[in-house]
Amino acid sequence: MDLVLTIVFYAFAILAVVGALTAALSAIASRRLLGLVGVAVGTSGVLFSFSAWLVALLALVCLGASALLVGGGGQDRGTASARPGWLGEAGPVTLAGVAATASLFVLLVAAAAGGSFQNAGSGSAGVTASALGRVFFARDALAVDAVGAAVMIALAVGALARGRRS
Amino acid sequence: MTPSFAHALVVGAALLSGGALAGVWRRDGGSALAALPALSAGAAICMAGVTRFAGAGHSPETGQELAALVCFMGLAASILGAAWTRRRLAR
Repeated sequence: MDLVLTIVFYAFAILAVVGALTAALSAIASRRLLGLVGVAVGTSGVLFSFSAWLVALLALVCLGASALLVGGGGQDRGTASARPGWLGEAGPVTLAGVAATASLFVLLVAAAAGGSFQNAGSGSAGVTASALGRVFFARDALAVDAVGAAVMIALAVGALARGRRS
Repeated sequence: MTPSFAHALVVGAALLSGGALAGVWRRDGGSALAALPALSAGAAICMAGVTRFAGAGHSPETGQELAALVCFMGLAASILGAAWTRRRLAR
Protein backbone atom coordinates (compact mmCIF):
# COMPACT_ATOMS: atom_id res chain seq x y z
CA MET A 1 0.00 0.00 0.00
CA ASP A 2 1.22 3.48 -0.81
CA LEU A 3 2.70 5.61 1.97
CA VAL A 4 0.11 8.35 1.55
CA LEU A 5 -2.73 5.83 1.68
CA THR A 6 -1.14 4.27 4.76
CA ILE A 7 -1.12 7.63 6.52
CA VAL A 8 -4.69 8.24 5.39
CA PHE A 9 -5.73 4.82 6.73
CA TYR A 10 -4.29 5.36 10.20
CA ALA A 11 -5.41 8.98 10.52
CA PHE A 12 -9.02 8.27 9.58
CA ALA A 13 -9.10 5.04 11.56
CA ILE A 14 -8.13 6.97 14.70
CA LEU A 15 -10.75 9.61 13.88
CA ALA A 16 -13.46 6.97 13.45
CA VAL A 17 -12.64 5.11 16.66
CA VAL A 18 -12.37 8.31 18.73
CA GLY A 19 -15.67 9.49 17.24
CA ALA A 20 -17.37 6.22 18.13
CA LEU A 21 -16.14 6.43 21.70
CA THR A 22 -17.23 10.07 21.96
CA ALA A 23 -20.68 9.19 20.63
CA ALA A 24 -20.96 6.32 23.07
CA LEU A 25 -19.80 8.08 26.19
CA SER A 26 -20.81 11.72 25.83
CA ALA A 27 -23.99 12.84 27.55
CA ILE A 28 -24.29 16.07 25.54
CA ALA A 29 -26.24 15.77 22.29
CA SER A 30 -24.01 18.15 20.33
CA ARG A 31 -20.87 16.21 21.26
CA ARG A 32 -22.61 12.96 20.40
CA LEU A 33 -23.49 14.37 16.99
CA LEU A 34 -19.90 15.51 16.51
CA GLY A 35 -18.65 12.04 17.37
CA LEU A 36 -21.02 10.41 14.90
CA VAL A 37 -19.92 12.81 12.18
CA GLY A 38 -16.36 11.81 13.03
CA VAL A 39 -17.36 8.16 12.57
CA ALA A 40 -18.81 8.95 9.15
CA VAL A 41 -15.80 10.92 7.97
CA GLY A 42 -13.31 8.45 9.42
CA THR A 43 -15.02 5.45 7.89
CA SER A 44 -15.17 7.18 4.53
CA GLY A 45 -11.45 7.94 4.75
CA VAL A 46 -10.58 4.35 5.63
CA LEU A 47 -12.62 3.07 2.69
CA PHE A 48 -10.92 5.68 0.50
CA SER A 49 -7.54 4.28 1.54
CA PHE A 50 -8.78 0.86 0.37
CA SER A 51 -9.27 2.40 -3.09
CA ALA A 52 -13.02 1.90 -2.76
CA TRP A 53 -13.97 5.35 -4.02
CA LEU A 54 -17.67 4.79 -4.61
CA VAL A 55 -18.20 2.97 -1.32
CA ALA A 56 -16.35 5.75 0.52
CA LEU A 57 -18.71 8.32 -0.96
CA LEU A 58 -21.76 6.18 -0.16
CA ALA A 59 -20.52 5.64 3.39
CA LEU A 60 -20.02 9.37 3.87
CA VAL A 61 -23.56 10.12 2.66
CA CYS A 62 -25.31 7.24 4.47
CA LEU A 63 -23.42 7.43 7.76
CA GLY A 64 -23.54 11.25 7.73
CA ALA A 65 -27.30 11.22 7.23
CA SER A 66 -27.62 8.56 9.89
CA ALA A 67 -25.57 10.67 12.30
CA LEU A 68 -27.74 13.72 11.66
CA LEU A 69 -30.91 11.69 12.16
CA VAL A 70 -29.78 9.91 15.31
CA GLY A 71 -27.46 12.47 16.88
CA GLY A 72 -29.74 15.45 16.39
CA GLY A 73 -32.72 13.73 17.99
CA GLY A 74 -32.31 15.58 21.28
CA GLN A 75 -32.84 18.94 19.61
CA ASP A 76 -36.27 17.96 18.30
CA ARG A 77 -37.85 17.22 21.63
CA GLY A 78 -39.37 20.67 21.89
CA THR A 79 -41.12 20.35 18.56
CA ALA A 80 -42.03 16.70 18.85
CA SER A 81 -45.67 17.44 19.56
CA ALA A 82 -46.13 18.98 16.12
CA ARG A 83 -47.30 16.05 14.05
CA PRO A 84 -47.02 16.54 10.30
CA GLY A 85 -50.07 15.63 8.28
CA TRP A 86 -49.30 15.48 4.57
CA LEU A 87 -46.01 16.05 2.87
CA GLY A 88 -46.58 19.78 2.48
CA GLU A 89 -47.16 20.23 6.19
CA ALA A 90 -44.13 18.19 7.20
CA GLY A 91 -41.06 19.75 8.73
CA PRO A 92 -37.64 19.80 7.09
CA VAL A 93 -36.44 16.78 9.05
CA THR A 94 -39.41 14.72 7.88
CA LEU A 95 -38.93 15.87 4.31
CA ALA A 96 -35.25 14.93 4.49
CA GLY A 97 -36.25 11.50 5.76
CA VAL A 98 -38.71 11.02 2.91
CA ALA A 99 -36.10 12.09 0.36
CA ALA A 100 -33.53 9.76 1.92
CA THR A 101 -35.99 6.88 1.78
CA ALA A 102 -36.73 7.51 -1.88
CA SER A 103 -33.03 7.74 -2.64
CA LEU A 104 -32.43 4.52 -0.76
CA PHE A 105 -35.08 2.76 -2.85
CA VAL A 106 -33.60 4.02 -6.12
CA LEU A 107 -30.08 3.07 -5.12
CA LEU A 108 -31.13 -0.40 -4.00
CA VAL A 109 -32.93 -1.00 -7.28
CA ALA A 110 -29.87 0.19 -9.22
CA ALA A 111 -27.59 -2.07 -7.16
CA ALA A 112 -29.88 -5.06 -7.65
CA ALA A 113 -30.07 -4.51 -11.39
CA GLY A 114 -26.48 -3.57 -12.12
CA GLY A 115 -24.47 -5.29 -9.40
CA SER A 116 -23.07 -8.77 -9.35
CA PHE A 117 -25.46 -10.06 -6.69
CA GLN A 118 -27.59 -11.69 -9.35
CA ASN A 119 -24.63 -13.80 -10.50
CA ALA A 120 -23.79 -15.04 -7.01
CA GLY A 121 -25.60 -18.33 -7.37
CA SER A 122 -24.27 -19.24 -10.78
CA GLY A 123 -20.93 -20.50 -9.52
CA SER A 124 -18.88 -17.91 -11.36
CA ALA A 125 -18.67 -15.58 -8.38
CA GLY A 126 -16.51 -16.33 -5.37
CA VAL A 127 -19.21 -16.04 -2.69
CA THR A 128 -21.78 -18.80 -2.66
CA ALA A 129 -23.67 -20.43 0.17
CA SER A 130 -21.71 -23.66 -0.08
CA ALA A 131 -18.37 -21.83 -0.14
CA LEU A 132 -19.33 -19.79 2.91
CA GLY A 133 -20.45 -22.94 4.70
CA ARG A 134 -17.12 -24.64 4.00
CA VAL A 135 -15.22 -21.61 5.28
CA PHE A 136 -17.30 -21.08 8.42
CA PHE A 137 -17.86 -24.65 9.51
CA ALA A 138 -14.78 -26.48 8.23
CA ARG A 139 -11.71 -24.35 7.71
CA ASP A 140 -12.37 -21.58 10.27
CA ALA A 141 -14.71 -23.46 12.59
CA LEU A 142 -12.69 -22.69 15.74
CA ALA A 143 -12.55 -18.96 14.95
CA VAL A 144 -16.31 -18.88 14.30
CA ASP A 145 -16.93 -20.63 17.62
CA ALA A 146 -14.69 -18.11 19.41
CA VAL A 147 -16.51 -15.17 17.85
CA GLY A 148 -19.88 -16.66 18.80
CA ALA A 149 -18.78 -17.20 22.38
CA ALA A 150 -17.41 -13.64 22.62
CA VAL A 151 -20.65 -12.18 21.28
CA MET A 152 -22.70 -14.29 23.70
CA ILE A 153 -20.59 -13.17 26.67
CA ALA A 154 -20.81 -9.52 25.59
CA LEU A 155 -24.61 -9.74 25.27
CA ALA A 156 -24.91 -11.43 28.66
CA VAL A 157 -22.73 -8.80 30.35
CA GLY A 158 -24.68 -6.00 28.67
CA ALA A 159 -28.02 -7.47 29.72
CA LEU A 160 -26.73 -7.88 33.28
CA ALA A 161 -25.50 -4.26 33.40
CA ARG A 162 -28.79 -2.94 32.05
CA GLY A 163 -30.80 -5.08 34.47
CA ARG A 164 -28.82 -3.75 37.43
CA ARG A 165 -29.37 -0.15 36.36
CA SER A 166 -33.12 -0.52 36.08
CA MET B 1 3.79 -0.29 9.24
CA THR B 2 1.75 -1.12 6.16
CA PRO B 3 -1.94 -1.81 6.82
CA SER B 4 -3.07 -5.36 6.28
CA PHE B 5 -6.31 -7.28 6.57
CA ALA B 6 -5.69 -7.67 10.30
CA HIS B 7 -5.48 -3.89 10.70
CA ALA B 8 -8.76 -3.46 8.83
CA LEU B 9 -10.40 -6.05 11.05
CA VAL B 10 -9.06 -4.37 14.17
CA VAL B 11 -10.47 -1.00 13.14
CA GLY B 12 -13.79 -2.63 12.27
CA ALA B 13 -13.87 -4.47 15.57
CA ALA B 14 -13.13 -1.24 17.46
CA LEU B 15 -16.02 0.51 15.73
CA LEU B 16 -18.35 -2.42 16.36
CA SER B 17 -17.35 -2.43 20.01
CA GLY B 18 -17.90 1.31 20.25
CA GLY B 19 -21.36 0.87 18.78
CA ALA B 20 -22.18 -1.92 21.21
CA LEU B 21 -20.93 0.29 24.01
CA ALA B 22 -23.24 3.09 22.91
CA GLY B 23 -26.17 0.66 22.92
CA VAL B 24 -25.40 -0.58 26.40
CA TRP B 25 -24.32 2.73 27.93
CA ARG B 26 -27.44 4.75 27.19
CA ARG B 27 -30.65 4.08 29.05
CA ASP B 28 -33.08 5.96 26.82
CA GLY B 29 -33.80 4.58 23.40
CA GLY B 30 -33.09 7.78 21.51
CA SER B 31 -29.53 8.05 22.73
CA ALA B 32 -28.94 4.35 22.27
CA LEU B 33 -29.65 4.79 18.58
CA ALA B 34 -26.18 6.33 18.30
CA ALA B 35 -24.99 2.73 18.15
CA LEU B 36 -26.36 2.25 14.63
CA PRO B 37 -23.86 4.37 12.63
CA ALA B 38 -20.89 2.94 14.50
CA LEU B 39 -22.09 -0.64 14.01
CA SER B 40 -22.66 -0.04 10.30
CA ALA B 41 -19.25 1.60 9.92
CA GLY B 42 -17.45 -1.30 11.56
CA ALA B 43 -19.18 -3.88 9.41
CA ALA B 44 -18.55 -1.85 6.25
CA ILE B 45 -14.83 -1.56 6.95
CA CYS B 46 -14.58 -5.32 7.53
CA MET B 47 -16.40 -6.06 4.28
CA ALA B 48 -14.32 -3.63 2.23
CA GLY B 49 -11.15 -4.96 3.83
CA VAL B 50 -11.97 -8.45 2.60
CA THR B 51 -12.06 -7.19 -0.96
CA ARG B 52 -8.95 -5.03 -0.61
CA PHE B 53 -6.73 -7.71 0.90
CA ALA B 54 -8.23 -10.93 -0.45
CA GLY B 55 -6.26 -13.18 -2.74
CA ALA B 56 -7.05 -13.74 -6.37
CA GLY B 57 -9.82 -16.00 -7.56
CA HIS B 58 -12.76 -14.27 -5.92
CA SER B 59 -15.20 -11.72 -7.19
CA PRO B 60 -13.37 -8.43 -6.62
CA GLU B 61 -16.41 -6.26 -6.04
CA THR B 62 -18.39 -8.46 -3.67
CA GLY B 63 -16.92 -7.04 -0.47
CA GLN B 64 -17.44 -3.47 -1.62
CA GLU B 65 -21.04 -4.23 -2.57
CA LEU B 66 -21.65 -5.75 0.83
CA ALA B 67 -20.07 -2.69 2.49
CA ALA B 68 -22.41 -0.41 0.54
CA LEU B 69 -25.35 -2.62 1.50
CA VAL B 70 -24.37 -2.42 5.18
CA CYS B 71 -24.22 1.40 4.96
CA PHE B 72 -27.68 1.46 3.38
CA MET B 73 -29.00 -0.85 6.07
CA GLY B 74 -27.57 1.42 8.77
CA LEU B 75 -29.25 4.44 7.23
CA ALA B 76 -32.57 2.61 6.95
CA ALA B 77 -32.36 1.45 10.58
CA SER B 78 -31.51 4.99 11.70
CA ILE B 79 -34.55 6.37 9.84
CA LEU B 80 -36.78 3.79 11.49
CA GLY B 81 -35.26 4.38 14.92
CA ALA B 82 -35.51 8.16 14.68
CA ALA B 83 -39.14 7.92 13.56
CA TRP B 84 -39.93 5.53 16.39
CA THR B 85 -38.27 7.80 18.97
CA ARG B 86 -40.07 10.92 17.76
CA ARG B 87 -43.39 9.13 17.72
CA ARG B 88 -42.83 7.97 21.27
CA LEU B 89 -41.89 11.47 22.38
CA ALA B 90 -44.97 12.91 20.71
CA ARG B 91 -47.27 10.75 22.83
